[in-house]
Amino acid sequence: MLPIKTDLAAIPRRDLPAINERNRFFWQSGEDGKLRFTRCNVCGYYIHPSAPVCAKCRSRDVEPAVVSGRAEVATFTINRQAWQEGLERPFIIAVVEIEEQEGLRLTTNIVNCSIDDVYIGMPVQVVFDHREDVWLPLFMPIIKGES
Amino acid sequence: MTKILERDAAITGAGMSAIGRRVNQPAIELALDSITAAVEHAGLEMDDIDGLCTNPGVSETPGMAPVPLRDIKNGLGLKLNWFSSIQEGPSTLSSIMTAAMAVATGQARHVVCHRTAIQYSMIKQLKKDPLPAAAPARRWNNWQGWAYPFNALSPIHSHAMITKVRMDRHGLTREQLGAWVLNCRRNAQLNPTAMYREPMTMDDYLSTRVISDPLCMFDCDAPIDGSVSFIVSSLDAARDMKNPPLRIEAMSGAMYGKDSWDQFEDITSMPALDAGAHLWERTDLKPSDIDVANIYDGFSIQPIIWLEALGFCAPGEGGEFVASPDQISLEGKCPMNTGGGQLSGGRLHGFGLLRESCLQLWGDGGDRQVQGNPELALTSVGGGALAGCLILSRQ
Repeated sequence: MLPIKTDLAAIPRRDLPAINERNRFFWQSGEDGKLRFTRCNVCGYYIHPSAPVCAKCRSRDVEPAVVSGRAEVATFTINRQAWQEGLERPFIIAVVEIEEQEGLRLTTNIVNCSIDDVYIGMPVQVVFDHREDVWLPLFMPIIKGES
Repeated sequence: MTKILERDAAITGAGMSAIGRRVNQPAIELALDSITAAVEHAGLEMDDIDGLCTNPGVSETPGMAPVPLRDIKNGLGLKLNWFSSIQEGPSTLSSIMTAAMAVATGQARHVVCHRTAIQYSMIKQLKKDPLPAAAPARRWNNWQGWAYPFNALSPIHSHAMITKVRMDRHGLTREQLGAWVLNCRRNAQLNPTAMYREPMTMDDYLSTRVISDPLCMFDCDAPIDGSVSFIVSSLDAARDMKNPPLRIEAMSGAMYGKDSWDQFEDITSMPALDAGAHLWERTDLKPSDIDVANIYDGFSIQPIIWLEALGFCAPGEGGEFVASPDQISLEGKCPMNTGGGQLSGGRLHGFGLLRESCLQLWGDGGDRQVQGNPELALTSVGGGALAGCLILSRQ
């Protein structure tokens, strides 16, 4: 789905996750433009944050699996406070629910979207913000005919 | 039949240091002040203390847990039969709950539980030297690693998003949140140690600065410095002590859903849902039996969630409940956050709320004393991925 014209630079200041062996695949998944979650090979359950065991069937046979990158805005907030120097605001913080599984969610930003246009239930798709060794999964509205 | 062994434990004393934003004391001194006050209040000598407990023991959050147990143990030369610094547990109340288990099993007779924080001083210090916009990205573990990269830099963001989805699904309104906030402020005006005591109107509430939609400045509690301590004693030992023992009728830190700020199964709630339901499995009492309640209000949305979770009202009706005039006020059916809560009283991470429950049961509520000689008090603590609650019963 790349390239997509984005306004990611509108939020210049970002802290980053500490990368470890368990979460490396997740935070670097966007290098090829695809979003991945750990998935159970036995029952198909997506496990997030990643764990070496399936919380549904307790199988240890789990591995990263590509998902569609489509999601829905489960809820959101417009941040208006300057928590740090260089934080451009307002901006949208959201929890999105990944299409593949109910309750599989990410805290993220909605980008390429006016703060007046975002709504609960809005269909969105992943877009990655590459910083250092991390590809942060952000989400943008799905425009009809483009998905 | 499950044995309810927490009923063999009681709170027998409570103490508080100076609290607020002009305290200007090192954290260890605040802890020593509140511990000494609690021991004296219980009518004990320091040498009677044989247990020590806190939660959290250490924290990455500046000023959140500045006093390790060893500094208290060594400083006071305590001879401890049992001690525990709890890192992962169901809210700061987990120290009280664990201490109750220690005295109920005979590991200790009198346990000090302290909660000490200097978040105000630490935030003030950090503000003097802000991180430049061009500074390299900081790296984060734990829940911060899932939130901070998206500039969800405060717990307000998670709580604002719960509020948003509740407005969408349940018709929750800002006026209903404001009703809780104003009740806290009215009670704080009667509490000499509360942080904010100026009168507040609904217009004041609705017109103040929005931090993260739909939550405004008055929806957030205020960081302060301070320490609160309790003595948790075995009920046998408590019977001959200075204060009427406040026996633990029931307690719960149950968590069935995911331990997470954004993966908890019910997006309108948090683990309060599990602890709140489990609490009533340990007692024949009902919410309508409770005489006074102090419900966690680090953010104004939390009591709405807690009151539904605890069964004071039906799911989705928390907003209507708190806005109804005859429910939570000092004259209401069950007065709540009688000392001003955390929203007007200051952030003592639930220990201020538990202390207020104790004061009300001992009849020490001063101008804000709940009428009718209250015997049963419920305290709930926690937001985000943390939740614990307990009922105290004056003997």
